[in-house]
Amino acid sequence: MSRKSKVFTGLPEKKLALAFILTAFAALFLGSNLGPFQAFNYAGLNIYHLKFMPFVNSYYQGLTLHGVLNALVFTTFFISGLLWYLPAKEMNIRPNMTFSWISYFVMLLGLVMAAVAILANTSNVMYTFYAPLKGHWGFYLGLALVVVASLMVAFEVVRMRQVWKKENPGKVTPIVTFMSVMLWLMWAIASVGIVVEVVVFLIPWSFGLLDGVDPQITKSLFWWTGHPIVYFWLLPAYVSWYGLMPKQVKGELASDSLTRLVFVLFLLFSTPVGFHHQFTDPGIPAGWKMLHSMMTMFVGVPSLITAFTIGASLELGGRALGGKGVLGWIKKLPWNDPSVAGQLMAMLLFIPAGAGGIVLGSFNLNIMLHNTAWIPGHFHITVGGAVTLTFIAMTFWLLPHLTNRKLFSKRLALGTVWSWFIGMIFFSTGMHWEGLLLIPRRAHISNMAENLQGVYAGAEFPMMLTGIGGGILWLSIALFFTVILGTIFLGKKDVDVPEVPFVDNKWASDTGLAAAMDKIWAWFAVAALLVAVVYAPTLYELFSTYVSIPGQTPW
Amino acid sequence: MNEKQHSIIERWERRWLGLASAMSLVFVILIAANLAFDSNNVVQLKQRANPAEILATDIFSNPGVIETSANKYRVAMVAQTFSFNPSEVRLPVDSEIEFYVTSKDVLHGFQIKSTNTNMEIIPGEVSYSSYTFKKPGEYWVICNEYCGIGHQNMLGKIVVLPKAVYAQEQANPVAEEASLGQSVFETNCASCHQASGAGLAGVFPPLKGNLAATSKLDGGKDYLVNTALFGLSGSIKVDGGSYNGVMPAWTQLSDEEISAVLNYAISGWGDDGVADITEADVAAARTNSYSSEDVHGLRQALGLE
Repeated sequence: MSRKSKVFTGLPEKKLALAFILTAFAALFLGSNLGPFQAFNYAGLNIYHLKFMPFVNSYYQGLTLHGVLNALVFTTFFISGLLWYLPAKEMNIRPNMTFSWISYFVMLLGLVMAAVAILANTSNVMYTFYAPLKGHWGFYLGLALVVVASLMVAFEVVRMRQVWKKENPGKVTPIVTFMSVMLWLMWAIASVGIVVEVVVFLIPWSFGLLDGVDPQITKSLFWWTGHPIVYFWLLPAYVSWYGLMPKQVKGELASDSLTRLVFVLFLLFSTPVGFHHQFTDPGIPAGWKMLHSMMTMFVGVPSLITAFTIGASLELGGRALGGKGVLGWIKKLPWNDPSVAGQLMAMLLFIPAGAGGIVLGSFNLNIMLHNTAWIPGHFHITVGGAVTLTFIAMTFWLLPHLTNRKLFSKRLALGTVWSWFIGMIFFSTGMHWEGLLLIPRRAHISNMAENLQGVYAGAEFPMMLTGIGGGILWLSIALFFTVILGTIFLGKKDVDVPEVPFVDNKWASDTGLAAAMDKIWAWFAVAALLVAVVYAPTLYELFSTYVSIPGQTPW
Repeated sequence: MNEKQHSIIERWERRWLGLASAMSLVFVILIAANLAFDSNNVVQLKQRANPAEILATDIFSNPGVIETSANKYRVAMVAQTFSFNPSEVRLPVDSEIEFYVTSKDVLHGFQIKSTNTNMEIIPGEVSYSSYTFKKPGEYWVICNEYCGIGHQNMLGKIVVLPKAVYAQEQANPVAEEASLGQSVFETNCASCHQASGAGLAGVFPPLKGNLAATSKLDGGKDYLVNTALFGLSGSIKVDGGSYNGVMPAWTQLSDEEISAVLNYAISGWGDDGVADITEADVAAARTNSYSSEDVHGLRQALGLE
């Protein structure tokens, strides 16, 4: 029997988790390698006409590929693998492997369809695909399959939890599983918007069954999903910060009940905030925008609680490792462990990222910044920084765990996380700054008919920062994939194989608050009701004045 | 962590939770207070209807500036790939300006530099907000919503004049020197092909010299009329450079406008071309109803790359 099959014989979950995660990295490889070209565009360097990349015809095609592969595909694959594997492992329940493999292949089919459509230059519609820009049906169908597959994973995780509850009457769901289940329930409510948009409108339209669609309605449905999708990306990082990382630093979870409360709050408040992406849309009434802005301010609260609880959990570790004084414990944390160092830096990036997010969620301030370079500046330190850096850092224990191979090079892994951290600081500082100068996002500004400096005067310095950031990030990508490929092909077998670092949750209780929060279906119902209340009146109004607009392909 | 430490952490936790909630509440109050006192830049919906219906209204059938009452002006603009119509407006300082903007095709943005005006422009809807310019000068209008291959070139301009200068301009309008062809070109074509006709590397081909040469080819004239009417998509080559932008269809322009703009582009930059396209030529071609890919085929049939 080959060694490989020996690893997976007892644990077929490992093989599927590995498939999800390696496919995620394949998407990230293609998507992230396009990134520096976009950063150089924002530094005023036009590289596209040099035809370095034979399969990319324009800046906008490259940008669509970058956004779809990184933000939609990489995240969904990684999260589906991770938050399916961890609950199964924590509850010690075998998933339905056939069903789970089917969900993987459905997602893979979706990825291939969407990627082919974009590569063929048929769907340069960005990852927001605002109608009446009209992509190929393969693009919409592909994305729909990715979402449907993720919902199959959600179903399987919730099913496993129900089985566990039946086997453990009176017990509260284990903490990592609880966090995962809340995320999947949130995603189930959140994804309704994009599913309706794509299945009811965009797919029939792209097949020619509808003459046109209503751009204000499809855009609103997109943001029904488009905001909570950022929590779909962020919460798996929180799962690691709460549920795994304290163990990695010899700490413990400071509060079981507050951790659960945070995830209940995210289930409730992640979705009914989508209009804060539409503050400048004429078709959404100002009163409803204000309500969504208010809800957005309150969805900041669970993240602020997270800052406290994670801080305390890490401090317990730092002190156990001999740290003294008010801040001395920070120095004692295992910064030489790339998995820990990367996640600490991810947390640091999330501090300015959260502050910038509160600015964007403010109805009045947002109007100044909507669609400026501030936006990509913001989401490169949130999803591109806090989330992706956490996923990268987790990979440094997860990949050895899944493959039974030692991490290829700890030094290169440390180099990866530091260069990602520093690169994102440069890139994002430049982009936020350019946003304040009203340079628009998603614009091929290095190839303008007007003199760039005539229109966007005074932006030389932030543009230089963006360009430098792009260069550093490119180095980081090279280091990361060297570590990944090195581990898979050259890593020493059966040496230092880490286990999943599940946190010590000493303060867990099967009664009181924790038991109340374990009534997941009640919370699910409240969350669904909340979404209905904040969306139904506006959507009703828009549907009753439906406007049909024909598609356009101006690229 | 022992029981005592745990209870200390829990106590601080509760304080922190209170602080975080209070902070969010303060933010909400600040946002509401700000908007209560100053909400001119909050976009309003003025109409939601079929774009053809919107474009036929009084406001948009002849977009531009009109004085609606003393010291109050209405600016109507139509956004289209990849320009604003009109692309430049002149306004007096210290006057209330009401912006009415709609889109003919896809989503666009309307953000005025150095101001807090920023609206999403959606086909089927009319966006409205108002602003009072405090300083004379030139203000760029930026399309900040991705609208296609020439998005970065979609810019408009607002020239704000001292009141006396504005009044003088209104009293003695500068004689309209530009021909019809030139004004149609500058409104609709210059954002991609540039006012000089030089085009943009890799995306939009040069017209200067190129159209004059095409006009001399057998069937060249028909091809040019079809291109202007129905657009062109697919990669092309001009003078050794390749271009992969997209030319939109311009069927909404009149026969007179299309013939004038083509004749301008054939001979307007001092080129030696056959600028004899007539309104009748355009009217005859209108019945073709080609797609932009069909026009690419016509181009190849002429022996052009």
